[in-house]
Amino acid sequence: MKGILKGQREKKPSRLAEAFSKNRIRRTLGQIFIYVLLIEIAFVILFPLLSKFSASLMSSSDMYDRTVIFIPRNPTLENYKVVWEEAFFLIATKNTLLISLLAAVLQTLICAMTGYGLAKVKSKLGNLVLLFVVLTILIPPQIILVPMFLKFRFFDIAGIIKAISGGTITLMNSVWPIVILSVTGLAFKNGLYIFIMRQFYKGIPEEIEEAASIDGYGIFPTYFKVVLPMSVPMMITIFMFSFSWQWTDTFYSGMFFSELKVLSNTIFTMTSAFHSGNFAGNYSTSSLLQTGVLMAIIPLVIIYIFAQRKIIGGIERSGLVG
Amino acid sequence: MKKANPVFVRRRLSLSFRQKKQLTYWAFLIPFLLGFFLIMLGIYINSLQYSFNDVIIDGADGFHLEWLGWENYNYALNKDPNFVTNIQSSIVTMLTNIPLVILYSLMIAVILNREMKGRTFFRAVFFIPVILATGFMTKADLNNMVSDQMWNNMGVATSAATDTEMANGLFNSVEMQNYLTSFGLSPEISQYILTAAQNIYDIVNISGVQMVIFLAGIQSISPAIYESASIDGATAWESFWLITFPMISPLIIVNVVYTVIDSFTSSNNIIMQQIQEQTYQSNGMGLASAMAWFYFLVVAVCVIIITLIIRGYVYYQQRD
Repeated sequence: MKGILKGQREKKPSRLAEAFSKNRIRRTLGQIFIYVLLIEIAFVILFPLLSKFSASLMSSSDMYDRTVIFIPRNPTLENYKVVWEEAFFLIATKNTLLISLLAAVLQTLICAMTGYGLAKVKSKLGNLVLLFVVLTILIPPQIILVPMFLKFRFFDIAGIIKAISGGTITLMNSVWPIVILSVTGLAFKNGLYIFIMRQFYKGIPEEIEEAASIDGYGIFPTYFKVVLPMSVPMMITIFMFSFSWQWTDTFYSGMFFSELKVLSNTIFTMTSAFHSGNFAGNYSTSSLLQTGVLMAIIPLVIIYIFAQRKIIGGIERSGLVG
Repeated sequence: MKKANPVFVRRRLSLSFRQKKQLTYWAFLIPFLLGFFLIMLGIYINSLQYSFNDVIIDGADGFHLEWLGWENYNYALNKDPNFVTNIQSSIVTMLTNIPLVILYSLMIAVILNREMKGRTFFRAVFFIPVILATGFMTKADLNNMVSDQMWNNMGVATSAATDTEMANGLFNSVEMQNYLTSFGLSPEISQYILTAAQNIYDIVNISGVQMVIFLAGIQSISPAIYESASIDGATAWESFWLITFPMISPLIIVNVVYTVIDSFTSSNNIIMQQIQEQTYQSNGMGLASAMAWFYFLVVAVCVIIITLIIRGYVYYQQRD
């Protein structure tokens, strides 16, 4: 007992000295600086969400009262209830989840493969294909809205479908337009994903593939068994991009799914219904809209947190890259 | 019949191992190429066609084209009062934003890669701008009354464009510039620093994607490299410049190209707004397409020039 106490007493001054040593102070100050910086920027990012949160708790009288700023006078959960019921929240979330998952999985795989091809093909023609890839993100989707709508409204591939069935088919209100665009790596911002993957694969040392080829792997097995697992962190990132952009997408959803219940449609149809319909006046459309948006994006943040865990786990498992 | 054609055999053999491998790699590109040529190309050609025509809407869902030649382009470039100046101003905005966005997102990615308390929380928060950047968030923000009201009460008008006004209140430009110049900085540099400080709100919100890309790049560097470097006595500063930086340099080019494209094609851009407005005017689609295609050419030239400049500084581990 005495010995232990003595030992502790002897340790204490040395710990103190360590705590006040120059290095330690510098490190702590650096740490504090970083936290202050991060918290400040986090506030800038979170401010719009906080204002949405406050709007979502307001009754319509608070909303139109200019003296009520930020903290609602009569807090209410009514807005959440209305959005849950009137925006068909459960069905819409389920549909959005399925469509986003499908799109994200397809896009991640196709973009990773296309990126690998572009990283390995070494010729002028390959550079031309890369130019096409960048072209697809350079041309803003708004500009090709009308021709794109017409393309999928009267769908045909090089006259083949017309030759078989005698007419074009319409793909509106089905997931086919999204599937077709995803499988060919042409959906929203897919050019960016292909470009990311191409640059990533360019950064992987060629010795790894050579070693696999000496072990008797062909090009495709090398890719799927050796190279693909190495790119898991990048692919999860791309998956998150495509998943959340499909989730919040209004452009393609408005164009292709006008009658399908997905979140980005139902929230806005709900608000416009409240604007003109029987309920007008009882609820503030603005706070309903903010509530809907808030409810729609919270699942995304949660999914990202899990995906981050997966990324870190992925690196530790595969133990790459030299 | 079974005997193979000798010429054919010799040609097959003359394909070297390397060439055969190259052919197989093209297989990875098939889906994209099919989609591009069978679906997208037609769409682009249609849109280009509109730009040379007057698009006249007939009724519920029909329209016809009337050939105009270069008239739409001529109108956009020579008669429209705003188009050319808007293009100039969006190029200037893009050029100021690139270095800020790249530095900021790289810095945050490096910080968020460190071991620290609350890392998961901060990573989640810094991912939010990615979600907010597109889709229904921008649509919904148009009528967020709460923030409107708050800014109004503070005596500040709303919308992203006037956030700079708010910052102007914080950093009074002239005084701050004098202050910075007194340190011996040239007026141009101090002006640039001030612009950066004033745009911090915008920079944070347009850097989300770049930050996430950098973070993923840094996360895929093997810890073993850092370990062996630190055994050899490298400091954190040295291992950043000698390991992290070269390893993610391929991604810098992605981020620069993306920043340029995003700055030009986001719905906040003046030109995009002008084109959007034009599209919804009666029979304005031809002119809108012409503006869009001319603008596309400008953006493409910018992207090519910037890529050529940066390309020399990028380090690839793949041999060419």
